[in-house]
Amino acid sequence: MRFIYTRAFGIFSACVVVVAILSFMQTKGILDPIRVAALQSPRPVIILVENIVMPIKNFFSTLYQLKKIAQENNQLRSEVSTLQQNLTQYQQEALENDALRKELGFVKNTQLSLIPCTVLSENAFGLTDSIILNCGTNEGISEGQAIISQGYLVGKINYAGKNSSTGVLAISSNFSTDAAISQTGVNAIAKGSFGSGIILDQVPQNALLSKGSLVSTAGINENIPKGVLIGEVSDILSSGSDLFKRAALFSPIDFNNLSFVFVAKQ
Amino acid sequence: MKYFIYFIIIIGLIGFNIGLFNNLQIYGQIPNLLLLFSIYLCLEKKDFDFFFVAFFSGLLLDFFATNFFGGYTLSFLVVVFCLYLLINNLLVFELNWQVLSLLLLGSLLLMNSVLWLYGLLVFKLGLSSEYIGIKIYAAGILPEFFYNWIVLYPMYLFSDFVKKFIENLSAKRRGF
Repeated sequence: MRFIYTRAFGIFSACVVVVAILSFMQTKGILDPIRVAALQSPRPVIILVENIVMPIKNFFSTLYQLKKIAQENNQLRSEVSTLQQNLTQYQQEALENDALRKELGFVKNTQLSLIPCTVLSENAFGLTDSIILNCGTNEGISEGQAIISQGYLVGKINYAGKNSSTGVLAISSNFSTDAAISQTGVNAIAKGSFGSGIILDQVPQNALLSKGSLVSTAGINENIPKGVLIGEVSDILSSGSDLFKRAALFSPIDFNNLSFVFVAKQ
Repeated sequence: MKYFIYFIIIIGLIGFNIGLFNNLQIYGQIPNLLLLFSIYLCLEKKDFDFFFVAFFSGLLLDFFATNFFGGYTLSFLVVVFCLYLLINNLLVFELNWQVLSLLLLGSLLLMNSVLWLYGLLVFKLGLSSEYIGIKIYAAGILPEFFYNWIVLYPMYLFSDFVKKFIENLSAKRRGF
């Protein structure tokens, strides 16, 4: 305990007492002006040092973060790719939804017995004039049955497998069916015409045929129900000297982009 | 005059501490240049200037800290006083990096212990609404020691320079 009598202990004790007094003064807020001055006093040094250090720190910080930035970049690229895929899917689903809504409008208002089918293979680029459906004999499909979309005749089944079937489109030159002009009930033949649309042929010369006349199926063919719309007369192709009248039919259906169709059961 | 120089050095060191090392933290720790400077002055065994430096260094740190006032001043004073007792009464050693490292570690442990005890005391007395737990001090002690150890030699050179500068100044004033 000899150190108690030393000068160092005396100074130390005095300092401790001063600290106690200063602490008391601080609690009373007496030291606040000194505190403000003390906080401001090293400011010039801090600013000077920071001005030198910060650019160097930023440089090395950027270098250090390059790897992280590259990783983030890769991750973001991956996310963008996923989102683009999702967007494509959503757009596809929106289109399907749109097509289904149109089909639903027709289904609600018809008395026909319909089998819903998805188009597996579209008539891409209009090259084949045929479509492949995901339903076959298992679902009740048979050859010759009418394929309908949004209430319009779009073709007929020319091959029916167990689980899939092939249909020839109404715009194909291999397609033909009986037809009737709705206004007069005169029978005729509707047939495809090498990708240029549907032609109404074999209309008697004395029959009334004008632009805008609606043409539907006549019901002569037992596989194709009567009264299914084929299209409307858009142009009269024959002249007065021809044996029969011919007309071009307009169908609002996009034959190259069919997604869902119905096959009509008799 | 020398006390004025010490005061300027203390302000410069705290400015350096904040300006430089606040931007170069290791595990949230920065070196305590003021403590190192006080320790070096204490090891000189010539006078009691280290009390002045420790007192004002602690006071300035207390103004900057959010803890209850007086913790740093008291801990600095305790550290330099214990160090003074140790090197003057108990220990005979040669100043090398091993001894300095050991003294640094001991000083940091003592400083943090006093800070913790002081915080606990003022908390128990109802003078402060919060105190920093021992676990927080313990968790920071190794990185704090490591960072202080890195600047140990530069600070030794700086303290040596300051000592020689003040000695020269005193000699000139005495007419030598």
